Amino acid sequence: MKISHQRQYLLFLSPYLVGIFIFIILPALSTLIIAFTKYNLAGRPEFNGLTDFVSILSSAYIRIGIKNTVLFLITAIPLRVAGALLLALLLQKKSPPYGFFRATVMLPTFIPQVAFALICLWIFNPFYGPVNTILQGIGLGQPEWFTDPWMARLMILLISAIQLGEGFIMMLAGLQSIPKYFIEAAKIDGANAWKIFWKITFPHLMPWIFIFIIRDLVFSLEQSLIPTYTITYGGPYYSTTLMPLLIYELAFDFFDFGLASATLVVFYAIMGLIVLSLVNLWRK
Amino acid sequence: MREMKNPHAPNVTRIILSIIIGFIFIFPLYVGIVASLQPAGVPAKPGFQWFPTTFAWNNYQAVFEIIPFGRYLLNSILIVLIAVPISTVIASLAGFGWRQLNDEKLQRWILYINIFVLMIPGAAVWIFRYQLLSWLDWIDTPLALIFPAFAATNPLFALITFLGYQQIPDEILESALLDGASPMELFIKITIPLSIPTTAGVAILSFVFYWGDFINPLLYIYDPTLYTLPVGLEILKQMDITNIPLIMAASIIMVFPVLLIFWFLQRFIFHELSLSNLFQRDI
Repeated sequence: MKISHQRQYLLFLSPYLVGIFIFIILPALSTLIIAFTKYNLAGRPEFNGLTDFVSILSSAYIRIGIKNTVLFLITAIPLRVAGALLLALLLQKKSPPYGFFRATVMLPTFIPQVAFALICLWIFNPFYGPVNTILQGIGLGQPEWFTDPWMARLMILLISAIQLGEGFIMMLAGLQSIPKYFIEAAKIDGANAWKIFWKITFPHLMPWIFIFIIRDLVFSLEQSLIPTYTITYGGPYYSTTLMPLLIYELAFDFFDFGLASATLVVFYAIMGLIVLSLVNLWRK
Repeated sequence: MREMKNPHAPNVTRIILSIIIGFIFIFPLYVGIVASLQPAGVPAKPGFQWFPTTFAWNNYQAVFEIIPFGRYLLNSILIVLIAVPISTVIASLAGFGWRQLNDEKLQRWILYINIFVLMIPGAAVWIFRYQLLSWLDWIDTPLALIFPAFAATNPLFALITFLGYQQIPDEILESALLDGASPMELFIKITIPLSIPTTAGVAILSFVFYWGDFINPLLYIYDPTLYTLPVGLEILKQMDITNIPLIMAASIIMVFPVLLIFWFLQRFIFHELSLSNLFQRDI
């Protein structure tokens, strides 16, 4: 008997659907359940109700982690969105040199993250590193990137800001999707570049910027794991302990899977609410 | 009256700004290379070094002697050779099947599932994956590094192939079907050859992932003989964080293949054929 074509297409899709179910959806759902259990590597998970959620409230470590994360998100996302947008506007031209510049903008995002983090470790070296020798040369002193909590936060923010390749691609795609005749027509009507940007380009880009922001609520944090792990390991004084590193610590250093899951659930429930309210705002 | 500008004349301000931007984004890599050529163990000179003063190429050799860097390199290459093809095949099959479904509702649902999965933070899957991999007995085996390929590595990849294959006109595929081609032939003989840039793009992005993957070895690999390059770099750093030339040399070795691929394939990724075209199509 022949299998119908449509059935065969479903078969093409099935390895992928099974894969994401087993390796992504199922683990994410089970995190929701593990949050209500006492669970470490030694034994089976035991139901313990809301105990983990109560310990979140009393843990100063988790509180400072959440505070850092919120601080990071409200500074990093605007910086990354504005940066990606400006770079895309600057480098969108089709002629050859711009292709090269576009590739350079993607470099810090696509080279191996550990290698990039270690290069940053050298760049921000307080005594001999390039940044501080340049700052010293122009008389701005030598900031203590690794020992001052606020400077360390700034360093992680700068690293995140330069790794905006994915957002840059999205903004380029958004710019290319604007019909050329819109801009031509505006030019003929005598609109200047500033006006064209605010009346045509920006409104057209809004959906792309919106998707970028939503995705960055998760993605900018994912990216922060390697710099916060290799360069600062959350320090100094826990100032660069962001959500992924916090979860890593709770789950794989303290082996408290229950507490780690509960922290995730609480944090991403808050994030979910933010996303939903953003979506609602967008619809209006 | 404003003068009409010649649209083809190069804009000087734009070029200068672009050069500054290019400089900023290349700067980290450049100073990394300069630092990797300083002799190891000699205190750094005061002031900023714009150019390498010495060419201590033996740093690149020393990396392989101080830690089993060759072993890590080999492991990384093996993982990439196995995982990238699996990941690319699964993503391409999924994209093709997805494109060919004639039930629009089902197509839409798969899109929703994809977007939902894209929004799941990495940390949310670590814990159960650890349990899952221990049940499968995959902890401390290469499979613990390869397994994301079975889910196409990243839901974005299936989305890219889906959007890419949608650019192939329906008529081409339909006429092939009328000529008696099977879905598999449609996929291998028509879809793949017509969308090389898409497939190449997905393969490159998976290469970037497996080559730089740090978190999976960190969580699931404890046997030093199975370590990959990113873990090797971290080990080198922990051995002696002050030996910058050596750490930089190891980092540059790891960055090099990615640069090479960028160089060869940048016309696929960054020119008009690119990902950006893919995103234009409405779903």
